[in-house]
Amino acid sequence: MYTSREDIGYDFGDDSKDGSKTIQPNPNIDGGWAWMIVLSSFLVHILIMGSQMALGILNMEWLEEFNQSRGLTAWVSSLSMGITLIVGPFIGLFISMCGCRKTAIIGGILNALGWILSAYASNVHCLFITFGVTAGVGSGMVYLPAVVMVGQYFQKRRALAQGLSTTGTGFGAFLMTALLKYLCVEFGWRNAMFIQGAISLNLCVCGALMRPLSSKEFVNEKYVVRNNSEVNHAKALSHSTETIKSNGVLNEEQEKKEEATNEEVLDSVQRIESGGKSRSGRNMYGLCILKTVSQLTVTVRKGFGVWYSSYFGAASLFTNRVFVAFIIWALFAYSSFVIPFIHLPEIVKQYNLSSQNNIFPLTSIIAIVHIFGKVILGIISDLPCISTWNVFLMANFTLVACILILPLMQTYISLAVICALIGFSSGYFSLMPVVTEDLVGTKHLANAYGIIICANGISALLGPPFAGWIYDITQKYDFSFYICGLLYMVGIIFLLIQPCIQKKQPREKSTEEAQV
Amino acid sequence: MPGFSGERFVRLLLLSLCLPGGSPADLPMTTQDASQTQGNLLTQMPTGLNESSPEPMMTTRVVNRQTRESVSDHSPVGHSVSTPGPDLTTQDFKQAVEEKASNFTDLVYEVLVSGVSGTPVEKNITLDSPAKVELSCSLANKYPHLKIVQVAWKKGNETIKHINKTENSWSIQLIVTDENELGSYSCTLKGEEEFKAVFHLQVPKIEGKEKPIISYEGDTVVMICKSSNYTPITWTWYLTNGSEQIAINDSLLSDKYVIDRVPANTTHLKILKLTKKDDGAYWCEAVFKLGKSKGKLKLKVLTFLVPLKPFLAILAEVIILVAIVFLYEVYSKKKEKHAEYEKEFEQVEQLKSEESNGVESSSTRHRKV
Repeated sequence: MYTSREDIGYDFGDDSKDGSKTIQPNPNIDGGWAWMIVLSSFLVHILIMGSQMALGILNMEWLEEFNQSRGLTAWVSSLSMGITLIVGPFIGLFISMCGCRKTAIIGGILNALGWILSAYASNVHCLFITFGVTAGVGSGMVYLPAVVMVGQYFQKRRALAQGLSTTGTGFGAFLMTALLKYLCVEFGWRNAMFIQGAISLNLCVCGALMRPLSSKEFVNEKYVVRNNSEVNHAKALSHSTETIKSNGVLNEEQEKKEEATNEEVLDSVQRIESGGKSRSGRNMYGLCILKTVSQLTVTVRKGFGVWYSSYFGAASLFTNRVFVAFIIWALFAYSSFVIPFIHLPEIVKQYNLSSQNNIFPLTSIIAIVHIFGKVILGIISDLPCISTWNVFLMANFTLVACILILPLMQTYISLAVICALIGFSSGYFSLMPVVTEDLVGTKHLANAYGIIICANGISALLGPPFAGWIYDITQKYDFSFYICGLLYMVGIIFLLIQPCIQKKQPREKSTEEAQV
Repeated sequence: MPGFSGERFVRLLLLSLCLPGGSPADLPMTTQDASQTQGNLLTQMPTGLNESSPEPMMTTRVVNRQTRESVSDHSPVGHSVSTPGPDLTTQDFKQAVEEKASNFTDLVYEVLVSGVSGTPVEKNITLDSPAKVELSCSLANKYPHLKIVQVAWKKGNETIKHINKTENSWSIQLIVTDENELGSYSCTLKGEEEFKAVFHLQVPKIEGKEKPIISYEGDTVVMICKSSNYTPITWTWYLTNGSEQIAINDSLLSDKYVIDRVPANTTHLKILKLTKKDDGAYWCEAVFKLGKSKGKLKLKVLTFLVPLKPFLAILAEVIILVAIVFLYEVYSKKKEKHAEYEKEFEQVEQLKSEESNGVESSSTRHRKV
């Protein structure tokens, strides 16, 4: 959102040759506060994704308490998981309007509220509303900012940073399961949910840590406005460059113009403010209110504009055909990842491997290697000589190959190897935001990634029933592997035709990266 | 799903085994019946094994027609064995109970020994009233090459005489009339490899609850004990006071405890006006003809403050952390602003004087702030 301001700062520095200080990149990018952002995102993953993994414990309690069918009760947790991802596009709007930090803090409160209200649920349907919807939307409101902020704060080590923060899911699964188990035994599930609500409030701490990246540039700009008369000239220049650049990325000239005028309003207010400051603090108060109100309306309008333009209109994200292909891929991808988890217990029984599996469960192999996979793939794709996109494709190919091969494996060792490979290659989940960022730029990351996780959410919701349905028809689990593997292949083919449908993309991408 | 084929297989067996047999009291008839079923079993086994998943061991329960009942026993491969249980209707079950009053129940159990040698195959057999039990160990057809040299049936260290029913099957017959005859019976087949199977004869277990029941001071709690497939003669409730157990009967605090014994196989203990003192373990004891069985229930009495305390503690922690984060940000912003003003001032000066080596001076001044 604030990249434009950044540009102004740089352009000004270049134009007026006013010392090299302003040209220096923000010290918080790739270091300093950025690591706090990784920590915050890591905690968000522990608290949200981890507790969603641990819902099985509560699910058992709900089954016992409400005496409803397994299917109906299971819907509570899958609704909450699904909604967390599916609301992504709307959270994108929120982020555009009031920034990551506020969105995350509000989301944290909403999530906590969902947990606390669920403690007083009288039936399963009540839980749908309190836990599924309220807590789900709340988690969605924290999850997306956590991913987007890491994307904004990192340039060179983006993939590693995303990898590190998403490992929170794995750790969280262990941690929150233990915690919820303890709370349920000690206090009963209702009180456990009540206390978990308080623990979820820690999401607000994570939100507070998500300091907007703009602060420095903002100061720069103020300084520019206050100080120099040639600024207007410089600004005009920068605006023109900006529009040219943005034309390159997404043709949204009209929207940009509007934005520019908005910024001018804001600037004038600021100018007045600074004038007032220098004279006397008399009418400061009124001006302050005026400033905040106008700033608020400007940001809201601008945010809505950004959001609206990324969905509708001529310059929406959907005109970016690579991105559309990516969405289609995301629709297929997630469901194939869940297939092994659904069918592994059965394979273990069929091949008489229970004894080995009890010593070292195959699903834990996937889970543990998955954590390493995220970090290692992150490090690999951060190497300057390797493009993230290629790592991403390679990981995808490995995963699809493993899914297609897995039904042929009959011994524990071979299954363990395949599962390790599945776990490792599925570490590409942490690369998804990075790839998205490369495709659409930092500015649209929130909206674009919102759409991607929405597609993932749909896929995650429909995948398990689909696998079950295939099993019911064929009475063999092999086919669900083959069919899902093939669907996944279709998704990857969509990704592969990327060079054919848009050749210019990589260059633009690189120029844009250079800007930011 | 995994036990699917296995389950179907067992059901098939049961169907074929429910042959019209002799009266339960008639011993030779029943043995014949049993051996007949054995024959069936053995002939069906190979196909079954080919079809179903190759499980390490297979336990099959053969129950005479008149006395079939749903035994909820937990054998290691419980799924395939206990699943047919619900198929038998409760009506059948009640009939069986009535019959038991006059005759001994006649039960035939068989364990198919196979798989890993050394680890014993275990089987639980639940009995609530006197019964005639036949236990047999047989070697799976998978191992025709194995020669069994020595076969021993034991209860504890005591060796029991067994009969060799077929080439690969050895069994003992017991008449269980009192508690002392319950316990673990084991058969050991020695050859090139050693196989062992253990039968645990026991009274029905009353399953307690691992998880404590949570309730609040002043509330009323109802604790339920249930014996799902067997009806005990009587129920007794105990509460634990320190290390000793006190029976709850009508003389003890009748305004606090209400016991409800209807229907016969369940019992409810209602505790009124809970206080912190009611916290602890409760036992329900079921008395069967062959012995007693106890189930444990835990009660946890909380005040409303108990969950509130950690809640408020975490809330305070969150507020403090958020405050620290924001304060730190304000502080660092101020610092930055100072630096900025300084720079601004500097740069104005720079503009006035020269443009060269301004960078270094600015950095030094920056540090002074």
